[in-house]
Amino acid sequence: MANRTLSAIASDVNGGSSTARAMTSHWLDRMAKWNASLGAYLAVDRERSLAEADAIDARIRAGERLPLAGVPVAVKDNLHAQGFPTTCASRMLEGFRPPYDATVVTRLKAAGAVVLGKTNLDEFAMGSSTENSAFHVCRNPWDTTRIPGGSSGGSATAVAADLAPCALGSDTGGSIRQPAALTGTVGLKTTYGRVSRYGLVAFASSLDQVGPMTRRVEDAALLHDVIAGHDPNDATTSSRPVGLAIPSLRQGVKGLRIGIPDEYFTDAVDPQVRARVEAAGKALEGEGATLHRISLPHTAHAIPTYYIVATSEASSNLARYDGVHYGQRNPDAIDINGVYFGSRSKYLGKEVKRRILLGTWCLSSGFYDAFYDRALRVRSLLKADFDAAFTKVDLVLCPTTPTAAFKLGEKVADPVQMYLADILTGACNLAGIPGVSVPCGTVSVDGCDLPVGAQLMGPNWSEALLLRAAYVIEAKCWDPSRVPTFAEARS
Amino acid sequence: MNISKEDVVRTLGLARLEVPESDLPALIAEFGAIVHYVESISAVKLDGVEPLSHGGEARDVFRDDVVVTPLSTKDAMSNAPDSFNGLFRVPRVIAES
Repeated sequence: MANRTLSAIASDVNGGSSTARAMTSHWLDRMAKWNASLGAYLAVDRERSLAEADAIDARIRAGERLPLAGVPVAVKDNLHAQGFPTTCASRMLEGFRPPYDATVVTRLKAAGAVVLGKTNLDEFAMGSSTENSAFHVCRNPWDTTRIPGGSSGGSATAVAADLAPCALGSDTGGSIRQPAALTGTVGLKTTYGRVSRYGLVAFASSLDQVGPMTRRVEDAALLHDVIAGHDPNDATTSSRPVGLAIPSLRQGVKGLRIGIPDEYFTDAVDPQVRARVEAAGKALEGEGATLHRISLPHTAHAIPTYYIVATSEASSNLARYDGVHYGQRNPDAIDINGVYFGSRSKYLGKEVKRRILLGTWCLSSGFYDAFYDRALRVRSLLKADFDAAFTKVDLVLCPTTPTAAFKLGEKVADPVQMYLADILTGACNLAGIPGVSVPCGTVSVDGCDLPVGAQLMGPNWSEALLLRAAYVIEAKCWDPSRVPTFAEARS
Repeated sequence: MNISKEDVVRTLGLARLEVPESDLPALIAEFGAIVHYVESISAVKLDGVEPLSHGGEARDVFRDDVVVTPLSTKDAMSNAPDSFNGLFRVPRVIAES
């Protein structure tokens, strides 16, 4: 099935040559076979998914024709889908059952999609390797001794290993694009305000965006067109009309000006990764785009700024886990402080506590000006860098990650090294602009082929243009039906 | 900036977190390294630069005052660790005199 586009699946189901039940069963069967060795999913409910599929089949029989008819979708476990738990891969939310659907899930279901299961992540989306999941690690199907990236590592692995035809992720500092790059999948972070965050468990509210993770660019475009748009339940969503991506997807890149930022091609980027991304640039040039060296001079400050802003917002957002309203409560508490301190200390993981600590520090009296306020002002400069660049070029091309997937355990002991995994993705979230990671080839590491992602970033609301350029890179540099040989590698 | 044990303990308290005494030395070292890393932005020249709190559209959002059916109390409280008659129940907050 890895050679089928989402629209081909929907076409079969709409046309009656297949059913939502058959499609859902196919991926549930693959998941049953392989999930234990990959750890992509945290929650699966076969009966529930099949019941959702039957409801779609009934709508088709009643004459409805749906853009995602019978398309199973894996949902990152920080998004609410009724009937499934939402844990955020945290002990704190073990057993939590959301009383409503996230808006993105509502929209997918309305378009005919079926929720296939909830995928693994770094606890509360805080991490770059999915090793911070409180439940189990997730493995990269290209080499199961390596991480799939994070925090949307479960969604990335599910799609890469064909345990789902598509997935939703969330991206706060690279959490869709980085795992997409490391698993050979496509990941889109939309402009801030393009996709509703209603029903997404908040990490850093000024940075978080939900987006598609897919096997091919066309599929990402289709999911974008379904989930994007204004939502009265999220006041930060824009009411401007959505620039649909599917209609212009095949219009090519002739005449497009592509910026190549010096600061994203430094010695910190692995030479093999760099070569693949440069080849992607040549591919765009071959199709009529022009390449232009540009500078985004404040790039080096993006990750320190990101960690101050994101953790400050997280320290506020995660104050809600107080052991009172929902989530776990310390059973030994005899007074209210025992509830607060005991519940948070017992059920939140190490990295989550570290980030709450940093955020609390940055917002605390005496440090606010030197850390938080200063970071917000550097954020202005980072955005101004992009604003200036987009007066000269239409899009920016760079690597998504400095290296291919690293080994499980390699960076766990050094938080700062782990933070640097987001070095090429964080500025995009701070500026609020959209970015996409598209596979552009593989590199050989220790005798293993590992995928590389090319990242395209554009001005606000340029999703359709980004996907158009990504479509060209995919066509010239990648075979999207390729499923890594994790099965053979394992035996 | 040097991070002391007192800095970490005070900040943990503000965040309503506690760690075992035996874990503190490692946490102080890790936290010190992180603070050292992020304070690198102190070198950036920021004269006249305004703070940016988000990259989205800055605007007021209004909606029509339409009556809708909200989440029921039962559903809203369905994940509460402890409740009684539709209220969240917690241990005594004010001590007996």
